[in-house]
Amino acid sequence: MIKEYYQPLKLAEALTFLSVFPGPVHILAGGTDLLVNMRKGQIKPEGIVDLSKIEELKTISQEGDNLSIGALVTFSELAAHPLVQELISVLACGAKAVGSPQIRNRGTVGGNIANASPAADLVPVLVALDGVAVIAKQNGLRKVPVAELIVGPYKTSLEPGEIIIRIEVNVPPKGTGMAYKKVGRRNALAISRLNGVCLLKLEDEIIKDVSLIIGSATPTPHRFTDVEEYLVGKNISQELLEEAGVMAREHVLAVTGKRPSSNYKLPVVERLTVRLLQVAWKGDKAYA
Amino acid sequence: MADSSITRVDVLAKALGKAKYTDDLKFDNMLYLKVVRCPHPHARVIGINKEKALAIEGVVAVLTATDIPGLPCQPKERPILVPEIARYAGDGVALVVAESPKAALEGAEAVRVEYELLEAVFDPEEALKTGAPLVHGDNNVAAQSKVCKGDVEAGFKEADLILEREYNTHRVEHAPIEPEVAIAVPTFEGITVYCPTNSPFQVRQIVAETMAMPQSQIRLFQPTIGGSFGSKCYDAGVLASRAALAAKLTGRPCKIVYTREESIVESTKRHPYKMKYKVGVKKNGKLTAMEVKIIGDSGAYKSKTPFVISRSSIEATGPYVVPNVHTEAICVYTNNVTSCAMRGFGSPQVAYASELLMDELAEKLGIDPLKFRRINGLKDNSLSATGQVMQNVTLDECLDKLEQEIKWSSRKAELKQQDKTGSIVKGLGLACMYRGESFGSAGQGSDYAGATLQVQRDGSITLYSAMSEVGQGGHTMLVRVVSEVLGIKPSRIFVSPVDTCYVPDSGPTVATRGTYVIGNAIRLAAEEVKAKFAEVAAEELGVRPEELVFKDERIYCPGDPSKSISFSRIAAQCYLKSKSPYGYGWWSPPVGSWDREKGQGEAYSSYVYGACAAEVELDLDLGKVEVMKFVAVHDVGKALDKEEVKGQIAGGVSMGIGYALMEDLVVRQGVVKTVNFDEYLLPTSLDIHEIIPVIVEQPSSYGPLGAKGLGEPVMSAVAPAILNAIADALGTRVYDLPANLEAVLDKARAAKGRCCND
Ligand SMILES: Cc1cc2nc3c(=O)[nH]c(=O)nc-3n(C[C@H](O)[C@H](O)[C@H](O)COP(=O)(O)OP(=O)(O)OC[C@H]3O[C@@H](n4cnc5c(N)ncnc54)[C@H](O)[C@@H]3O)c2cc1C
Repeated sequence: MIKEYYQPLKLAEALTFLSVFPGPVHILAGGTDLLVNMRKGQIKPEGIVDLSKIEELKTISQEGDNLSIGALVTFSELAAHPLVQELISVLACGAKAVGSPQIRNRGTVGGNIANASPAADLVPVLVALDGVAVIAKQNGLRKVPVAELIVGPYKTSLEPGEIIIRIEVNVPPKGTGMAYKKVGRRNALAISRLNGVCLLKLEDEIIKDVSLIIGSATPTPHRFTDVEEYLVGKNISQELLEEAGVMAREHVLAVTGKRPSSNYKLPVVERLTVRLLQVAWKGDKAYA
Repeated sequence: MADSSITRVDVLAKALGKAKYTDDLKFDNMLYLKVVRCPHPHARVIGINKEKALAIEGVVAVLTATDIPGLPCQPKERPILVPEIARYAGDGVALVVAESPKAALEGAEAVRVEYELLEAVFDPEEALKTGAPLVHGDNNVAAQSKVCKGDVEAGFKEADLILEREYNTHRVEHAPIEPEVAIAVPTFEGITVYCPTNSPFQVRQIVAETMAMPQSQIRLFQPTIGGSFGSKCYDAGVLASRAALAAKLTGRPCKIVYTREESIVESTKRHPYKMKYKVGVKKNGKLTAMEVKIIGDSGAYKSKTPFVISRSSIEATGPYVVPNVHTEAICVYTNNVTSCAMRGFGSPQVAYASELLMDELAEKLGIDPLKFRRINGLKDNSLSATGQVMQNVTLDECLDKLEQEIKWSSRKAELKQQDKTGSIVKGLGLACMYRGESFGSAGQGSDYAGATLQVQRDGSITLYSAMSEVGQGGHTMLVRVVSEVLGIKPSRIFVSPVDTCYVPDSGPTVATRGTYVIGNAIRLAAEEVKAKFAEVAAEELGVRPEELVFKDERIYCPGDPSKSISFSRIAAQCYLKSKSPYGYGWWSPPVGSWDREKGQGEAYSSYVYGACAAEVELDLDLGKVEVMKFVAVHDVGKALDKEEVKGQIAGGVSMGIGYALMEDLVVRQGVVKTVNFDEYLLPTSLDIHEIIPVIVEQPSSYGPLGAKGLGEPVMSAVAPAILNAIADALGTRVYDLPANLEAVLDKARAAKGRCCND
């Protein structure tokens, strides 16, 4: 039974509440995961701290090479933000791929990370951008790469009393090609069968830098560094991309082993990889 | 006048949020119910311990089958509460009655039921084997139906090509937006039940049987209904009876409302079929023989299965001339969730199989698939599979319109030229359908409707029938018919809510019989009023009644404009002169002869026809299908309201897209896995692209003002048209539904020569 529901206006107040509340306490951002889990009876909070009125957690700003995204920024706000559209359009693609307008209006960036679903749609983009979560506790801050914060399906290394306050991502250098794709059983309100993101920097047809993730294929989203390393320094060509596709597929197989879903997922991982690279290479839009 | 659309009579209240659904109703002192369900697919109830539940604050009672004063159910039907054996994981075992929904939920969790687990069977073919666990009686046969015409062996001998194919269709959920709900209020005289059902009199009968009370003492009131698609018949009867039982025993109003999960776990579904077709055809495209074996999963109880399977066997060949036919259809009990009526009622499954078959035959013979349908399609005076001489056949008109609208040949040619080396390919496919209207002679139950009209003193009209407005526009249709016959404005006609205390029994609003049967009853009622009013008016005007015309709110003599009087004046005159301002209509469709042994005869008194085409876009890398364009041509006899017709078609097409591509009720070892809309996937607006409804109007000899039914036909040909389009794009076929990501990718890879396990 919920004994206390607290809606502070300041981060400090939220942190204090978390540190003193005696029973099981949960953070509520948009509530689009939390309330579902409560209804299913999977969690039974006694205290709830609702962050949705804390303005300091809702800003998006550019700081040098970084874009800082407040944890309470909603998918809709993220997708519509001029800095995002201008600098990292692939973030907007990831945000738009989520659920439906209702869910995008409520669901937050921080919630997508903290929920740690292997099928999360925005998390792979944050990881591809080497996103770092800034986490506050009553007596301090720590910074953890998003890729490390998520330790397993629906598991993070967040400790009781901690709040993700913002995510800092690298702004890719000018001329970086970007691609994002979600594969679902329907075109809205779909849990990703697979999703993927790719950032590609070329110099005279030589791959200088690449970041590749196929999400929803492995228990936690991570950069496919083996594929990336293979690509860097090579002359880009269709054949090379095909090779990358095969490697990505082997990468997934190595991580997950053969599963009932492999029949579908493995070949699609391969094609998706090729297509993401193609769009990042030649596409004028980030959507694959 | 009949061509212009009128405002739907139910639309304003719904759009403005003023319509009262059952869950909106509140009664003083109301109690809340929660069902305790058996989690096992087959189990004997050994004991029910209520103690812990009764100790919870707010829990008033825990009811079980022993509390039922009447029948828990008819033989082989789903019980209100299980007396001894639970036959599927979802059967209700006990009912907790409490002061609040929360207490009821806690109470239900605290009831301890001891079960003896029984061996269960889930596969219909397994269930037919000797020694299989028995769900009912001494074998698991729920129903059988045959259609035998000519000599199939001889027919196969004549054939140049024989094709044998197997098709599987899956189990799907009705998914009306309003889940099941009922409120029962005990009264001094009996019980009033508020329940959204499209079979009010049947639900009343179930309640009366449960409570061992005369039907007339049960008053069933139908609040606004939030959709049905066939799910609110027997299922509603079970809920209404549970509420009535609790209300009678506690003496207080009782409400039962399901969560989506409860609804999906407990409620009935569409029958899954396995269909084996063997067909013979000559080089010139003429069909010579067809042998069909259908085995369907009835689930745990009988429900409407015998009628569903009967319709399937009659329609199994599709709308084609097949000289020799042998169809055997059987439905089998299993310990799965029960199958029952669902929009299409046995038509969509066989339309799916027969249309995929026609397409493949055409392909094998190198005949254009549309032409192939024309070669074999029913025409006037053709003999159907049941040996019926078909009349008023409009398949060719439908094909004509389809051909024009989609520019069949040129579009086909264009698509042939497309570059198929990339990952996106397009395909065009078609499918035809026909469907018997209403229940038919083969015995889907007695088919009748009563309806009444009362003209008020001011000339406004109250219309009484049991037509259930499930969102299909049924009430608007009734208003339209009355308005046409009496020449008065639709806005002056008020449709009474359905209340079994007042309205005549119009039968259930199912089987695409609303317009056809209930529409005719209201037409007769309106004609009776017209005759009575003509007499009164004739006396006033000094003319003969036959000379009078009813139009624009007036009754007048076309020959002499001075002889004219307003409709409302005549209404007032009736009351002044103590003449009846009532009209009553009772209609039942003509019943033809039917030989049950052979499945031969006049299966239905009338049929509707349609032809559809789908253009799909396939992503070969992902297995994803988009239905970019869907043209649906339907003969509606007479469009009483064009906008309604278009809406009905768009709805049916959307539902068919879900059936074809993504909806799939997953049941494992008798346990439903897809219990909410995160996993049971209905198409969203982003999955529906262009839908082009095309109306053919060939007046029916029987329907009111020439109209034919449309609700179910619009669903039948959708999946096969899409699957045929997928086959056109891929060059290979998916035979089983749904054509989801996995199924399509698998075929796409096979077609490209890639093995799916490499
Ligand atoms: C209908 C529906 C469709 C959906 N579709 C998609 C989809 O397509 N793609 C997708 O990725 N997701 C989808 N989701 C899931 C969900 O919307 C996202 O995961 C969303 O990002 C969650 O954010 P929230 O703000 O609603 O989180 P909440 O539900 O408020 O919180 C989720 C979890 O994170 C914790 N938390 C939240 N914020 C913080 C923080 N700042 N610091 C620490 N912990 C925190 C909460 O305590 C809770 O445990 C869908 C959900 C629904 C209900």
